Amino acid sequence: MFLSSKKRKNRSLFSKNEINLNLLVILLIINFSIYSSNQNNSFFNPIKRTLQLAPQSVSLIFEFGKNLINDVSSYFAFKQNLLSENENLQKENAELKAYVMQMTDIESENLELNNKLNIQKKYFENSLVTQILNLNYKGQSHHFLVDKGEIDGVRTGQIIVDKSGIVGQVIEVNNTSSVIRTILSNQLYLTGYIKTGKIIYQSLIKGDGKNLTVDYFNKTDKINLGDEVFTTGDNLNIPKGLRIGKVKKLLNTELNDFYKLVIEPSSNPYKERFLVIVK
Amino acid sequence: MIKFFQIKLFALTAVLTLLASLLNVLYPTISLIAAFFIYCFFISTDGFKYFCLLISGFLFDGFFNFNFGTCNLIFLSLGLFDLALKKVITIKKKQTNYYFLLLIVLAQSIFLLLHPLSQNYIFYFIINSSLSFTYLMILIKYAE
Repeated sequence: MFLSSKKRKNRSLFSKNEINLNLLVILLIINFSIYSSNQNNSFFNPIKRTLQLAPQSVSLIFEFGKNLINDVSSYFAFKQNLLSENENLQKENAELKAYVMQMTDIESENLELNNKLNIQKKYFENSLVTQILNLNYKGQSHHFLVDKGEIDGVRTGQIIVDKSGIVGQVIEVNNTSSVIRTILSNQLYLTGYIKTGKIIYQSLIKGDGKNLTVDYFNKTDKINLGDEVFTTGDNLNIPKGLRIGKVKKLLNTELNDFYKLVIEPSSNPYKERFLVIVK
Repeated sequence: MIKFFQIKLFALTAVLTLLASLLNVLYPTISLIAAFFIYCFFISTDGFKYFCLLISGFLFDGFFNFNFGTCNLIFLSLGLFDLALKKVITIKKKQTNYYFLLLIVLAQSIFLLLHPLSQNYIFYFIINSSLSFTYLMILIKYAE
């Protein structure tokens, strides 16, 4: 094969010299006992460690390079993962914030509805909770649209209340909505009484845009600032004893015997979303 | 006595085995060592033979983190096998290379006994034996 015939002549097939068989066997036994002995001891370990220097140092270079590449690639992969995770978390956070806002809104709406239902239960058995749709309806100040109409049993002239008192009156009814005129409107007149201790004074109250006024109030009738004003009621739509507001100012008029009363309304429809229509 | 070129052969084997050990695929390290042993025992002079027996086996064991005695066990087993075979049969001279191949396979088998593989036996034998035989031929040529 690889050796030419010439060269082969110089070589014997078996080992040339006689080898002592006994020596070989003894060496084999010694070797085997060394091989099978526990070599993790203080004698063999330092020798092994010294001899292993060369391959370890070479393989360490390879290992180091491999680890370095692994570390760098895993760093970038990790960074990429972190970035995408961060993005996902931000999205989730935004969704959760929106959800919380929605929940807060629902919670406040729920609270408000509960209030209205309480009003319904406590004071007006025959009433309807409605939601304000449009403030300043059709450009008219102190007018708004609510989501209940003729099919819900709403009729013109019925009044609207909130938890503080009277808010306004239904002036127009559609199928599914109605137009409300608030008590601040100068087109709405109410008959009310001012309660001073046990004495009451009736008068006609109308809106002036910001407050309610009683144009002429006799100076001989003793009233105080902060006295409360209630509805007198009529037989049709307006119940008796609904709170209208409090006396805020007593102004002199061109007629010496009369005051002009400024009444601060107790209700504020602009702070509500739901109101109660009293049937 | 040991000649300088024989030490160079040992160093060459050590370096090549060291590089081969980095690959760590199917123990190519033992292929070169086995070839070196066969060369030392059957071809080289007496002095180098004992150098092999006493020192190089232990050095290889230390280099490649085998248990001390692994390489010499292989080496001595080959010697014993040779002595036993010599008394039983005779082989024609032109069959020398086949005999070397037999020794190489025997060396691989002993190594497998000491460090058993769980799979790829055939692949191991083919790759390592051919590598070992090639290296043995190179050593013989280089020694000449």
